[in-house]
Amino acid sequence: MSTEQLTGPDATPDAPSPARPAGGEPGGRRAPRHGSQQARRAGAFYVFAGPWVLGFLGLTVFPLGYALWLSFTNSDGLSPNARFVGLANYREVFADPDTLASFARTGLFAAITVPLTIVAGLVLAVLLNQPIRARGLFRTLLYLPAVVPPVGAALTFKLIFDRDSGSANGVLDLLGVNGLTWLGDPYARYVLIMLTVWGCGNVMIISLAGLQDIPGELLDAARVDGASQWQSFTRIVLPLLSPVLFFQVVTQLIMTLQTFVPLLISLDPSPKGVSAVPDSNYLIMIDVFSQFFANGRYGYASALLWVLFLFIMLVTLLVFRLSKGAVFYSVDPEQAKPKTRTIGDN
Amino acid sequence: MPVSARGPLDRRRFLAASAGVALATAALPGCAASVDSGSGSGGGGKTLTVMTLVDEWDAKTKRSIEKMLDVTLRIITYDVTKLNAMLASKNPPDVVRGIGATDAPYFAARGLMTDLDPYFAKSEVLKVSDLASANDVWRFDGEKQGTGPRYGLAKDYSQDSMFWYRTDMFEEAGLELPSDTEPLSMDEWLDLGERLTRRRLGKVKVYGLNATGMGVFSQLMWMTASAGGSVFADDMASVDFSSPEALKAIQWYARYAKADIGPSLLNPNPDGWDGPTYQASRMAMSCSGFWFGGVIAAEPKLTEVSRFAPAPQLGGHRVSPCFGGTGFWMPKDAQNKEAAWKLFEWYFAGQPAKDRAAAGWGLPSLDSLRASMPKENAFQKQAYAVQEQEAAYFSVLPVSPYAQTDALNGVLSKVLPDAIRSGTKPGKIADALNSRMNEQLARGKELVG
Amino acid sequence: MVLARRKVVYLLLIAALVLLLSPFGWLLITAFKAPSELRAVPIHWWPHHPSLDNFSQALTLFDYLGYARNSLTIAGLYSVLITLASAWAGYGFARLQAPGKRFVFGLMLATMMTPQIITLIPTYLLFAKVGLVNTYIPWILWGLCGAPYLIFLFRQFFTNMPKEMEEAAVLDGCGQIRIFWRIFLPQSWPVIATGLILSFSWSWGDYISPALLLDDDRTTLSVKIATGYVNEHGSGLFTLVAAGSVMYIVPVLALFLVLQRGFITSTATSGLK
Repeated sequence: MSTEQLTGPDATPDAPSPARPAGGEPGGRRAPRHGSQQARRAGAFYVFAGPWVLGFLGLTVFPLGYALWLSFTNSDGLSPNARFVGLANYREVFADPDTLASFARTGLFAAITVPLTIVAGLVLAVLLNQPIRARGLFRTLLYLPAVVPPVGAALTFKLIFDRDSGSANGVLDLLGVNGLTWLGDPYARYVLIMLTVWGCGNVMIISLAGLQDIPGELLDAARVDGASQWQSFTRIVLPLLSPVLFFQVVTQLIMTLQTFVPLLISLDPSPKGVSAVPDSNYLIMIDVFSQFFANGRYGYASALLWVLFLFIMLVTLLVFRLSKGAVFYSVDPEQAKPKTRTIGDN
Repeated sequence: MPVSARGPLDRRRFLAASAGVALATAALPGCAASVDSGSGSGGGGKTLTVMTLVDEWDAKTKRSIEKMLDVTLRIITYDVTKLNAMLASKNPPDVVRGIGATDAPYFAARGLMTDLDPYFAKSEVLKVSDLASANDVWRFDGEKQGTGPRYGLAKDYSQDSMFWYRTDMFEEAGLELPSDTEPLSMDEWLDLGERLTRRRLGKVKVYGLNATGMGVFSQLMWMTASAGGSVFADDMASVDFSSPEALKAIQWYARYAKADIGPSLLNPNPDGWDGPTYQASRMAMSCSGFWFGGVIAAEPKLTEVSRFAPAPQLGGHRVSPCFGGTGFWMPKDAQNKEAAWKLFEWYFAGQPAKDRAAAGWGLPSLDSLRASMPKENAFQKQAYAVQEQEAAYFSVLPVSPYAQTDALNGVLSKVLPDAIRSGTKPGKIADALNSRMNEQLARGKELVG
Repeated sequence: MVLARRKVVYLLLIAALVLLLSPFGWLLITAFKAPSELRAVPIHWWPHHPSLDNFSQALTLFDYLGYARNSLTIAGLYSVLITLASAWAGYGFARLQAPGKRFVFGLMLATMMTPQIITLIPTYLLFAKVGLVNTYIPWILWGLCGAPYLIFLFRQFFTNMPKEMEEAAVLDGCGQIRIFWRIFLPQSWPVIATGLILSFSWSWGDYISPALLLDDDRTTLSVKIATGYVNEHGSGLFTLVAAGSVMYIVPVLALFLVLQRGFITSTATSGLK
C-alpha cells in the first residue's frame, strides 16, 4: 500500500509551527509555553497511539513471528523430538501436489467469484439507481442476504442443498432429473460459489453510493451531446466508479483468498472437521486448518500460513500497482471531508 | 471425497457411548438428594478435570461424583484440537475420553499417557483377569499395540466388522438369510448387497449394503488381515498396499464403491452413520458392531426384522477386530491421578458399567458383566448367540503410533474417489497410497524417535 | 419507451428479489416442518402440519438463550472497546504530533490489509500456552487495541474538526485526554455508530475465533447453532437447525431494519475511502 502517498501531506496541517500567527500575545511569553506544550503533545501522542502499537506488536507481530519460527521446525506441538528443519517445509509447500492444487483451486475460485460478485452487485446498483418507486424497499430487501451472518447463510444453503430433504433436489425431481449430492464432490464448489455471490449486497450498496455521487449534470450533458445510455455508462459512470470498484476488487480478493466458508457447509464444521471438506472446496485456508488441526503438522502448516500471507500481500501490492494512475486516493486530511451519506431514500 | 475423517467417525464412535451413558447416569446411588451445592463448591478443594462428551453426566450425577470422590468436577468438552493444546502446554485434563483402537499407540508413543498397571495391581475393583480381551487395544509396548502396559480402559466395545441385516428385505428379494455361525465371503456379501439394492429412476431407494463401519482404513486393514496379509510392516513404520492380500482388498472396495449399493467415499452418507437410513427402512445390511443393537432395540418394528451376522471374510484367515474401544485414559501430566483412578473404578466397574452392559450399547469391557447383557426378545437372543461365537475370532489389529488413523483415512479419501471413478488399476492405487502414507509415517517416526 | 424501460427494470428487480430471498423461504418452510417430513419422497414443498415445535425444541435442546447471552456479551464488549480504542488512537493520529508519527501511521495503514485469520491460528496456539483460551480476555485484548480501519475513520473525522475548539480547551487548561473525552468524542457519534455497527455485527457473526478459543459451554451462538443441533447419535436435526437459524438471523435482520440508515451508511463508508 502506498503509504507515502497517504501520509505525505499529513505533516502540514496541524504541525504546531511557529509560523502560525500567535495572536496578539507577546512572543516572549508565548514561546516557552509553546515548547513545553509541544513536548506534552508528543508525550500525549504516544499515550494515544500506544495501545494500538502494543496490540500490533503483541497480537500481530508476535503471533506471526511465532508462526515463522514454527515454520522452520517439524513440530507437531506434542512430540518430543521436534527440531529445526531449515527450509524443508517451504520446499514441501511448493512440491506438494495437494497444496499446489488447493492454491490453484483458490485462485480459480477467486477468479470466478470476485468478478461475479462485483458484476452482480453493480448490476443491482444500476437497477436501483433508475428512477423507480419503492427504491428504498427494493434496496433494503436486496441487501438482506448480505446482513445474514456467515453461519446463518451457510446453514441455510446446507438445508437447500441437502441430498434428501433439500429444495434443490426437489426441483430436479420435479424436472425428472436425478438428485445430486450437492454438498459432495464435484458439486460442492457450485454451492460455495452461489453462497458467496448471494452476499453481493455489500457491493451493491457501495456501488449505489458511488453511483449517486456522480453529478447528474455530467450525465445530462452527455445526453445532450447525443451519447447513448451505454456510452455514458461505459465512458462516464464506470471511470468515475473505478476507485470504488477497485477497492471492492481488493477487499473481495483478500477475503476470498482466506475464506473458510467451505468448512461451514461441510459435514462437521468444527476446526477438526476440516479434513471432511469435499475436495472441490478444499481451498488453501482449509488446507492450513487441516494441516494444523487434523494432521497436527504445526511446522508445515505455519509455512503454508506464511506463504499465504506473503501471497496476499503480493496480490494486494500488485493490484495497487496495476491500478496506479487509474485510481486516485485522496486522503489529505484537509481535503477529505467526512461524508455523511444519504442514499436514495424514498 | 474426504468424508472419512473426524466428523462422521467421531459421531459414530460417540454414539456407542452416549445412549448407554444417558441410562447409566440415572443410576448412581441416590446420594445427590441432600446435596444442593453447585458444581463449583464440591468438597476437598481438589479439582478433577475430565475431558469428555458434553452430556456425559447430568448435573445430579456430577454432584454425586463430586461427593463420592471428594473433588470439584470440571468437565471439558471433548475436542482433539483443545486436547492437543492442553497436552502441549503440560496442563492436561486428569481424565480424557479416547478411542483405544486408534488413540492409544499415538499418545502412548509420545509419552503422554499414564501407565495404569500399578493402579490395577492395587485395585480391589478392577482386576486385569476380569478385563475383556478387547481392552488390549489400549496396550502399547513401546513399539506395537496389543501388548505391554495398559494405558486406558474401554467402557464398552464391539467387533466392528460384523453386520446387521433386515430379514424382511431378504425375504422380499427371495434370498436366503446369512448363517449365524459361518462367515460370508466378501464376494457373497457384495453379491447380496447388489441384489438387495432397490432403485427408482436409477436413484437408489434402498441401499443393499453399507460395508464401511468405522472408516475405510480400518476396513482395508481388516480385509487384508482376513486374506492373511497385513497393511502395516512389522515395525509399524510403513504400509504396503502392494501385497497380493492388500491389492485384493483395494479391488474389493473399488468394486463395492462402483456398484453404488451403499454409502462409500464416492457417495458419502450425509448422516455420517447408518442409524437414520436403517431406521427409515432404506438399508438392508449395515456393517456395524453389537452396539447397533441399541439403535434397533429402540424401535419395536426393527427388533422383529433385524438380525446379526458374523464378520465376512476376504480370505481364509478369520478375524473379527475392534476398531473402537472407546473409554478413558489419564495423561501423564495429570494433576489428580488418585481421584481419576477412583473415577475409573466407579465408571468401569460400578453401577454405570452394569447399566451400560444391560442397555446393549456395545459389549461390556469386564467379562463378569456379560451376564447382564440384554436377552429379552428374539433379536437380542440371536445377537447374543452370534456374538458369543464371534468372540473367539477377536484379535487386535495394531495401528501405527507414527500417524493418526484419521490422517491415513484422509489420504484414502484424497486418492480413492478419483482413482475408482477413473478405473485406475489397483497396483497404481496401491503405489499412490504407499508413497503418501509412508511419507507421513516417516515424518511421525522422526518426531517420536 | 420510458415506461417500457421502467417495466423491464421492475421485472429485473423482482426477479433478483425472488432469487435472493428464496433461501429465506426454504429456511422458514423447513423450520415449520415436522422432522418426519424431511425424508419424504418426493419432498414436501409445504409443511403438512406446520407447528412451532421446532422453535421450542431449538430453544431447549441446548441453552439457546444462554449461548445468545454469550454472543451478546462478547459482541457487546468487543464492539464498545474497539470503537473507543479506535477513537482514542484516531485522535492521536489526527491532533497530536510526535517523532515517528508518520511511520506509525504508515504501519497502521499497511496492516489494514493484513488478513486477521492468518494471525488467528498462531494467536490461538500462544493463548493456549498461557491459559487464555476459554476466557473472553482475547476479545478484550483485541478490542483494546482498536481496528486500523476504524482508527482511520476517526482520524479523518477528528482532523476535520475546527482547531479553535481544541485551542480554547487548551487555554482552559484541559489535558489532551479530557479534550478527547469531553470535546472530540461526543462530536464523533456518526463514526461511533459506524464503528459499533460494523464491529458488533462482525463479532455476532464470527465463527472461527470462538470455535477455536472457547469451550463448548462458553462459546457463542454462531458456533452452537452450527454444531449443536444433533441427536444423541450425532446426526443433524435439520428442522431444529432451521428453527435455530431463523431465531439467530431474525434479530440481526430486525436490528438492520431499525438501524437501516446506519447499517447502509457504514457499509457504504467501508467501501468509499
